[in-house]
Amino acid sequence: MPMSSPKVFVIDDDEAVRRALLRLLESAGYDARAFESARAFLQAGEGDTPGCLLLDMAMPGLTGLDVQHALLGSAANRPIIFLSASPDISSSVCAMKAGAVDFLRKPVEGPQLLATIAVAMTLDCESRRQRAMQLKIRARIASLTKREAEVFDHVIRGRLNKQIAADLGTVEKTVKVHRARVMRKMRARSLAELVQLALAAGLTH
Amino acid sequence: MCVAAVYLLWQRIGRKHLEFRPSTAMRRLLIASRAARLGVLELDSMGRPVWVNAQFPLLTGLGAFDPPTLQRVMERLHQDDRDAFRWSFEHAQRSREPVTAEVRLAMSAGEPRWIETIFAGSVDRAHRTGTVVVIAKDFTEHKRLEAEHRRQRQQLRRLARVSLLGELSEAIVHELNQPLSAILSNAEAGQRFLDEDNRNLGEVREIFKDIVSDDTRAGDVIRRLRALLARGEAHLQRVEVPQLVKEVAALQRAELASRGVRLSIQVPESLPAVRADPIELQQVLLNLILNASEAMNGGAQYERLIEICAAVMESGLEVRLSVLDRGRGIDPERLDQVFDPFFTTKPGGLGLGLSVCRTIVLAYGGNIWAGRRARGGAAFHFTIPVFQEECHAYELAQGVRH
Repeated sequence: MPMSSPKVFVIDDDEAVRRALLRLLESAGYDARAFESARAFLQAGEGDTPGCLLLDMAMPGLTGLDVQHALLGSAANRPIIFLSASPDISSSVCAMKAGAVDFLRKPVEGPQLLATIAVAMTLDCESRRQRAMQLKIRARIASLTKREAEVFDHVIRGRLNKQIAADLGTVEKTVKVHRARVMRKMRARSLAELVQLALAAGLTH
Repeated sequence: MCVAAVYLLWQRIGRKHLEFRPSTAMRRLLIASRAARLGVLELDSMGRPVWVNAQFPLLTGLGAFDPPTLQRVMERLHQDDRDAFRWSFEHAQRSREPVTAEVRLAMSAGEPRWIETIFAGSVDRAHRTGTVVVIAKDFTEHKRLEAEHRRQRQQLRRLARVSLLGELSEAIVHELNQPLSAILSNAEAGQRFLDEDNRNLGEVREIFKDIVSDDTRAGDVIRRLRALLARGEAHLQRVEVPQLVKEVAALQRAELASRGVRLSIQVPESLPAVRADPIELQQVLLNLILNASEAMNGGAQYERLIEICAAVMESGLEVRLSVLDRGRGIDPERLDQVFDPFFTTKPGGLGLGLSVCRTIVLAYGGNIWAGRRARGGAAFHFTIPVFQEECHAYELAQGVRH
């Protein structure tokens, strides 16, 4: 699937603000799209476009916080920068706790906004790379046989071949063979690398 | 010489009526008028004194030797009130009903003294000419208290307005920050566009246009605020309801948005104009909308929607405005109390909002009441009299005869 170019999604119910933000972002070379409501954005189906959200806090209907909650944990989740025209400490705390990149007060100065957007774009890029890596590792894990998976599970918990053989009711030599297959299938050159992969896939604690 | 002659004539008239032949009825009148500090003067149809009690010259500041003719009494009055005095005298001669006039004395300095005068015409059987009895009462204290009362009421309304603004302050900051934000971003984008090699002047022109309109928008916010804060007497005038509701909605937009509340306005443009003070009417609506929005706070089970509706009453003489919410509603036993001063369910609330709303609406000759909605929520309704000309036009349109 071809990856679309990263975009800044501007969601603000105020038309004048929306237009001005789009201009500023475009003048800085960003590809930006504006939506007048959270609903319009959620329905636009921009689920897998990389980028970040520039989200107004106070909107009629779904507020900025509602959008943040709707996106949390979904595939369409992206770094969020909140904009707010009125001081509201409690909602800014909520937003930051739920992982917002920043909470900026309107009127926000261009350099500050653009710097924050650059951070958000980098974060998105990084998290997408991680997610892609995770998918790859999970695919490798899925290719293991049941026995190999059992051996993998024991190995990454730091158990010795002898202990694994005892636990699985087999001999050390067989465990060694499985272990070699696991290393090959997981494309790991050392035990340390294997543990790293398991960590990246979110398997160990 | 002339003065002496008049004085003698006055003495003669006085003796004849007051000293020598006071009837029983007249004696009673004299006692009563002295007790009530009323000045009593009877004038014949030419405005000459027939008789007078001792109180009248004291009240009006006539000298002891001044004959209390219509002319002389009028000269004691403020010049703006003389015509009204003469008119009342003339009118009383022809009317069976007493005529009342409030007049000021022509005093040199300080507060004017107010005199309330009642003119009652009567026919003297003997002379067959109509005389007019003028009863005068010092009215100054009453007027002073009335003015004081009005001033205090005005101050209370203003206080309520200022406290309302306090509640709105967040919304106001928001309303100002939005256009300021757009102006800043536009200007910064414009600078960047100009720095580019390939200058897009068309875009820059658009930017300037937007900056001007956003600046106007910020100015409008300030203008609305200044109007709300302005001191001054209520001034009843012709008010177009749809326009007023739009102004109020513009002030509230941000506040409501931050609470995720939607505002639905169903006010027909064809509505007749009403007679009210526009700022006070805004105040009433702002209060009701704020209350409605607070009633829906923190309730995920409610659809956060406020409806503002308006319609002409069946009589065609009043317009009814309603503010409806879908909040928790009002307890039935409290429906009558909500307009009482210092009644509040809000922590930190002054409890003045609705009470001032009622004062304002009643002052216009309207009415205000609260109710419960069948499917939950509160309904506040108030009526405002239609502006007079509109009233006639409406009746004509309905084929009502005058």
